[in-house]
Amino acid sequence: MHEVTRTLDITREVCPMTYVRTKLVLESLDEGAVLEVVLRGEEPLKNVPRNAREEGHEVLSLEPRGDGTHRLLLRKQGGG
Amino acid sequence: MALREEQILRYSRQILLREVGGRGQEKLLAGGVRLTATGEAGLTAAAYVAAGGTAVEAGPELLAPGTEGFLVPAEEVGRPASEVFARVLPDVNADALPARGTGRLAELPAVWDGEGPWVALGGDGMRGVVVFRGAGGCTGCFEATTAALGAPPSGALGVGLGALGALVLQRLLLGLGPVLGACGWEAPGVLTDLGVRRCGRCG
Repeated sequence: MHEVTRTLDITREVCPMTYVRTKLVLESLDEGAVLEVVLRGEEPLKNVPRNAREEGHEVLSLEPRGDGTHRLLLRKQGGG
Repeated sequence: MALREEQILRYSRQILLREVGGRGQEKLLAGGVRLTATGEAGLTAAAYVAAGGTAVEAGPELLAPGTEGFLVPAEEVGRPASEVFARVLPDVNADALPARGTGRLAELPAVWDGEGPWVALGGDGMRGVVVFRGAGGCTGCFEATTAALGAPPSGALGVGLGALGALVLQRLLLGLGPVLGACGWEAPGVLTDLGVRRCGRCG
């Protein structure tokens, strides 16, 4: 289990705002903090974890929530 | 300075860039330049800088033919740049309107002052040249380099040079790259690093 620092719901956002919202919240967190992202649809399911990884953050988990959405846990790494 | 919701939407594609992000966009919005230009190179640079959120304060110079674009309507050619910007910038990007910052963006020949960043648009007869100086860069070396150059090229080469100058200025505002340098731009789109002339103190 990871202690979540902050939760972000992007289920109503579309590309590119899905990752823009995620990126802005990640920038506001301290290194090592865990961001929980609730997302819906194929595009953010593919792109948000990929973009976060490319910017050096750690993808801790990605799992369905049973209501059509997914729960993504990201750990902020330095610099991003 | 926190980004407002409409700014997050407007600059979303810049925020996505790894080198920019939200904090970088805040730096672009906090920056500003005084513009001294009448041609394609300077007005193209000003258009991209303003679109990116950085303030551009134009001087009284009369806009030359060829400067028509998304910042300068065709009917405004021949009028003072400061008057044209006051009319046009609120519609293009109101964030670029209030004068702020200590930057300079100018076509050569020009006089340089203020803290910077400084971006000069010039040419050496064969190609367009951008000379740049950020905070901490030697003013003497910058001026020694620009002194050897003439006015920037016109036409498509000048437009390309202006786009390059805007990018260089934005990198300086973001704190990326060297604080002093020069690069050449020649057809059909070849970018080269150029050396900087050393001043008497640094030489």
